Amino acid sequence: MNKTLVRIFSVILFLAFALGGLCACSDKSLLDPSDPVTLTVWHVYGEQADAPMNLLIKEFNETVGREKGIRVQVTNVTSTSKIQAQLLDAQAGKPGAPELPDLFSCHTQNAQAFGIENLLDWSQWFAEKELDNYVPEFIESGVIEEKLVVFPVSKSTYALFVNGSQFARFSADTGVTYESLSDWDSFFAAAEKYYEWSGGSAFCALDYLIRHMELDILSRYGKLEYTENGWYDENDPAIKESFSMFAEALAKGHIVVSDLYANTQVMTGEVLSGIGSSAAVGYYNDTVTYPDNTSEAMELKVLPLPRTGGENEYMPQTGVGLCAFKTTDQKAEAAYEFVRWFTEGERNLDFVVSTGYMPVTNGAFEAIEDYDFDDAGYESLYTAIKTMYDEYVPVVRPDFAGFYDKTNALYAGLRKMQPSLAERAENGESIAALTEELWEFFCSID
Amino acid sequence: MRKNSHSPYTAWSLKSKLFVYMLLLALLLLLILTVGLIAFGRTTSTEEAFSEALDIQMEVFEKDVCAHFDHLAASAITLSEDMTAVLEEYLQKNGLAFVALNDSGAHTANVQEAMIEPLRQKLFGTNCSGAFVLLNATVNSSLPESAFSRTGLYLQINGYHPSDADVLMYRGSADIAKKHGIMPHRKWKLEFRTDIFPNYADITSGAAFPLEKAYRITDPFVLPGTSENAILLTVPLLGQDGTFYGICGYEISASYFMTYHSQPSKLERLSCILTVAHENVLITSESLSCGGSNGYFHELTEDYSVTGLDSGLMDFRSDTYTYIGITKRLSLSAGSAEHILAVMVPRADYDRARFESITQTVLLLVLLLFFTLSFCRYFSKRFLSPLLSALEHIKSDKRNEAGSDIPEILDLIEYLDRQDKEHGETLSALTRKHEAAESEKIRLQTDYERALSDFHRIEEEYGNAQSELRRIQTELERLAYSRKTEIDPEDYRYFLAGLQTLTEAERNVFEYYLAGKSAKEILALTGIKESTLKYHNHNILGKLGVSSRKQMLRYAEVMRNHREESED
Repeated sequence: MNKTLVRIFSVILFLAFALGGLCACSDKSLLDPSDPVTLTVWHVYGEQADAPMNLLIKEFNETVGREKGIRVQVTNVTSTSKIQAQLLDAQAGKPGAPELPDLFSCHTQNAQAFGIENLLDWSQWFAEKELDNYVPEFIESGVIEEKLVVFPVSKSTYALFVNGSQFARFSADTGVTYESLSDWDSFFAAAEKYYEWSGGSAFCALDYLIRHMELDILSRYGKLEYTENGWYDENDPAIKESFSMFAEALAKGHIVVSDLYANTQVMTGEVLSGIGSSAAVGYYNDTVTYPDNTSEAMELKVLPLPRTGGENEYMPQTGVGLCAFKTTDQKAEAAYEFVRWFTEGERNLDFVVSTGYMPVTNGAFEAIEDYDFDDAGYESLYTAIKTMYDEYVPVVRPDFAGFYDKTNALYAGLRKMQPSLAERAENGESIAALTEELWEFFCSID
Repeated sequence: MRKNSHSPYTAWSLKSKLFVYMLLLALLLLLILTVGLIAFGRTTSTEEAFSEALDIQMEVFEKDVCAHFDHLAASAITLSEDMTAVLEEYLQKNGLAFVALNDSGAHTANVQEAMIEPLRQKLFGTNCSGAFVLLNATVNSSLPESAFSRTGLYLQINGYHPSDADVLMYRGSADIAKKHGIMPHRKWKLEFRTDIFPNYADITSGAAFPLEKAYRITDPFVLPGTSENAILLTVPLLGQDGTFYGICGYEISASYFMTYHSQPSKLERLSCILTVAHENVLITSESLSCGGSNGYFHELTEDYSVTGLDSGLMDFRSDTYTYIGITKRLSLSAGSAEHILAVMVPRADYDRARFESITQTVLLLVLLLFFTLSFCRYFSKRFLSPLLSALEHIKSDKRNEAGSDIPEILDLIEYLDRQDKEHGETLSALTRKHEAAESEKIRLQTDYERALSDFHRIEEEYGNAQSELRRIQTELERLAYSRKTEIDPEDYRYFLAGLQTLTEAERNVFEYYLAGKSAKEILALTGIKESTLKYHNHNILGKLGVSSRKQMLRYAEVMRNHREESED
């Protein structure tokens, strides 16, 4: 064979390989539409019910995901506490534990448990200019050890949810109005009236009682300090005073600590109202069903948290963000593309207003005022949130280790105690004594 | 170069021949390889490979689904028996008829209380996402739609994973649930609604012993208040006397199906579907699906038309997606709608595999060709070139200087040397013979030249003699002619007398001759045959006493001259 022909053939082969290599190097994206990468996700948006996030994920998969070669697959929708427990089981390789997901919903205070070094630093993928589109405080709240490991996708606060149908009858009979629920004093007064009016039913179920105590103390005393153990100083009179305000209402049976989520007690007619996460709006049934199977429309009314009357009013700022386990650069890029798409202005707004959250991008909150709501309950919620957004100071939750184990122990104990409190009061035990008993239990948590 | 007229290929050089033979060898090897692979079943087309993989996947999926539903059915039957026993025990203990449960919050609550723990145990002990007992009674028959309202318990696993220990109450008494540490579902209701319970009429109408034939699979439906699809396996609750107490069974939600049935597979993007059977269409809302255990799962969002392909594979096509796969019909219970299992992969994967297969084949061929050419060059360089070089040297004057490590070439050189030597001796002998011949040749040449000179002289003399002879002959001819042209008066008279004896026909012919006509012209003018003319000629010459036509014309000419002279 001709030598020249061999050389030409060799050169062509070399150029083909070299060109292929150059093409591969010149394309920065690791994604390949013809060979999509799958991201599994565990999230909290829509547990047990419709999941707007799942719908958005479907939309992502059908559009940008398809175009770029990303497929997001929801493999678990449950509560943050369960996600936390299951992730730790999975990390520990416990038998029967599910596979670790690529993305998961997580509170900032829980992220450390998975090892910051194991989590993706979103700031490595988001350009500074892109991060400037988000509310700075929300971004900061996801930074641990100078790494943005919890990316904010939505934020929630607390609100007062009222069974409007029942309240209308109660209001007609007693003259108590929604305005009567604007501060804690009148709230407790209304609760007492309802207890009497209903023949012994609690007025309200509180999901996070201790949080209201904190906000009350902050409002009235301007500061709140924790002990080294991550609990409250029982010698601080402000704490006892504030706790006792709620404990007294508990002792009287006017309020209860919710079974877990107040909405389940509202929809069974067990209580007239509940205070919990704004995100609970998605879980309130359209109807209230009573034990005799009669039911009525709930006519959900959502109100701002009762005010404390202090110098400043405070609102909790909570909500999970998205974390990603470090695996491959390709998955990291895919996660970045998904989260960026998911939190883009209009889309984020649509998502949060369908789930009861607050948006995370700059200017989106103001846009809610012009939002066209389909549901009166949701509109009512965002009116309440807007009021708080304008008039209350947001406060993030404590994030030190062990704090929530203590609060959960407190709630579990109070749930156990509360059914007998009203009966004991009727049997002659003083409310003060019962309140003191609750305080002692509070102090016993350590 | 000497050419062989017998074969055109002999005109090819060794290099060309080697190239062609190597190419043929490569093609032969390829052919043998292909035939061998085919014969031993080691080669399959992309279609066959996918078809085989999907067949295996279908077999696994079918076994998985059938085994699951068999276990569910077996468990549901024992659940029915257990729940019936609990119910009948309660009724018997309280001296009640079943209808007494109607409008009795207390009795229904007590029955639920008795059932909730066994039901929870069954829920945890069975591979399902929910378990329920629906009783054919309602706590409040005075309500407007109480005919559709049925009391009972419906418990669900909270979350996607069977490992979740939490149970939720989807239907039933919230008080009883909480008493047992069970949270009401966030879309909880107190009672079931039979108007939205899937296939309720069919289930109740088929409620009869034996339970083994009474269990049913419902159509997929959306769990009220949620966006979750599910199917139920139901078994009737029947009293010993055949009283219909209600139904119980298990729920398989879409999420559970996806998690529980994810299939181990080598196919990267596998979708396995259980759907209600329809002709040529796969309806997403009536389907449960799962993906591969590698984590891939594509949730169906659109309906698919299903058409068969020539290869036996099926084409699944929606507005957005195209898959290929296979389907299989199966009956999960005797009285329920037939189901179809589908196992499929994105068409793009199939097309890519086919493209890769073709590319690999082309690449293989190119490589084979490349190596053929390379080996050809190598062989040429290592084998043919030394041979040709040696041959060139052999052809040249420097044969003895041609160093070669080819024994055959060395033998050839030795042979040629030997031949050369023999040829040299022969040549010397021939040279001597040649020189002798040359001397003889010169001598002969001299003799020849002398003879030739004599010959020329004789020839000249002969030429002179010939000229003399021709002159004498001419003279003789002139004398003869002169003799001939003289007319014998006797013959002339005979001629004139003979003219009178000519027949009319002979006279005519004679006249034509006199007019200067040729025989051909006379034949044309008279229309007689040639034989006739010859006959006339013979007679004329005979009668006129002449020997030839020429003589006859000369006599005729003399006669004409005489006549003209006499007329003048």
